[in-house]
Amino acid sequence: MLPELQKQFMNGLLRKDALILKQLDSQIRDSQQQLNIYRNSYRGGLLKAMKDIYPVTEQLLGETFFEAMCLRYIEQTPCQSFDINQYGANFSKFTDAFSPVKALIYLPDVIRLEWAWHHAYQATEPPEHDFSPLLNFDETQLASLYFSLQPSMTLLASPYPVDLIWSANQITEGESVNLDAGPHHLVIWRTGLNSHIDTVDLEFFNFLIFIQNHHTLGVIQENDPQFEEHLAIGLQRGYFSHYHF
Amino acid sequence: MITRDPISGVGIGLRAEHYEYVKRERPSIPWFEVLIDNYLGHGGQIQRHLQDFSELYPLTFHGVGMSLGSCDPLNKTYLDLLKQAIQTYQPVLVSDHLCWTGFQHEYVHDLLPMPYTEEAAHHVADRIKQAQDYLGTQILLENVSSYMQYQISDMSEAEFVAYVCVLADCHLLLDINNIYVSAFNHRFDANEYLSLMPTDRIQEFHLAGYEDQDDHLLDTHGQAIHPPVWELFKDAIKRFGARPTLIEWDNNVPEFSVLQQEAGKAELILDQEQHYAA
Ligand SMILES: [Fe+2]
Repeated sequence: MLPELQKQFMNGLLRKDALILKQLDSQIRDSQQQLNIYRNSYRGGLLKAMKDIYPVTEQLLGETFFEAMCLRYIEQTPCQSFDINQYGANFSKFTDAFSPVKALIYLPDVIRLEWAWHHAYQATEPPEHDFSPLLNFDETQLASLYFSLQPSMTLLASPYPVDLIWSANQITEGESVNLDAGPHHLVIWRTGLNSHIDTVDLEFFNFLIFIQNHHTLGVIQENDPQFEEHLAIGLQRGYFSHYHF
Repeated sequence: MITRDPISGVGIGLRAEHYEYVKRERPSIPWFEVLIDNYLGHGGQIQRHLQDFSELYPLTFHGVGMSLGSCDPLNKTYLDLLKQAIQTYQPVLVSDHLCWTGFQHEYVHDLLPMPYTEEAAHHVADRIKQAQDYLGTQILLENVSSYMQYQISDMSEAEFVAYVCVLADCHLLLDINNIYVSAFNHRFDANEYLSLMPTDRIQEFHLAGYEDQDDHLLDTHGQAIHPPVWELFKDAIKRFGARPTLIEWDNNVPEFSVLQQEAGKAELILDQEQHYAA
């Protein structure tokens, strides 16, 4: 009885299914009206969460358009985490396919950047890892190692200078950004309490992508002529959380 | 096991808008309630705030994530995080709501009421017992505001709340505003509701502001506490005596001093009315 009731309610709330209406007592208030109160509050809660995560996107689109777009997204995307802070993760994918904003070619990447910033802010810190034993490893041992990137980290490559668009639209409408400034390769992550957006060159970015895709150092070395330099920079900046065999 | 000293007086719900003010000014507030779900599984600045406040004030943890009335299995990931936070920060009280918040991996993040039936009472009470065993502490169960009623309910909300507390052997967090809002929406008598509450299990009161939508009241926590809610609070204190009382304000959050004024009013009522309690 109870599972069926909860299922019907969810279908009514999320998919406008009418079965639940018969289960509600309409002596004081119409059943549809009772459900609508919950629908409004559900949509309002998720909308608020998205406004917190995507302030720059809202700034770029204007409040009215942004909210309408979010509500469309919310209709299609039930929340699948008990943590409301995880909601909105695939908003950029939705935007890729959302034709009314097609002209804003850089928008999906701005959204990816905002999500990465949000993720970096709230990510948990991994335990400290001691990298000093690396010094004693021989070539073969090193070649068979896997490195892991910091859990707060997102790698984002965009044909547009989205980091400049992002920083130019922080609270008020910013100065215009030259979209022809070339592709930008970004590392969004956090150390301690501070979040960062690092701009890196294509070669180093590709090295990090190899790490992210769980290749051994041996494989990466075969593919990256600047391997040693890249590994040293990564270690020095603290981009890696740990290594394992 | 929670080992902190008991709290008393009027606490305030801690919100991000006031983090800096509270850390800087250290206002004299006997305790703060944190919305613990906002901190679970997060690091960095978020965790740092919780750490800082736990060193400055006694804290109570208030959550919505247990989804105690849901027909899903209890969420072990959530309970593990909560348990870890309880062990780390030693809150004085831990509370969640008499409701469900989602089903089959879809989460509404809203407090959905239960049908008031024997089946539902046993279902939710069993889950509360499991959660209490898992967490190693008794929890406080809060009554929610509601805007719908199920045909199959065959007891009143008050009877249901009292029954579940006894079945689950848990404490009760009585939200006075929620009683008032639901009494208005479903046309029941709020004082009769109070008369059915298990006095010994009440460990905390909540006070907040609703929003008048003409045809119904909405529990938005976005304005000052309304006069009839203050009246009902007086009735509750006369009946039950003083308990730790919390001012909740979540939307249109005002300056901290406004919350302190609300707390001052509640403090006065606690002082004046508790002597009537038997
Ligand atoms: Fe409450």
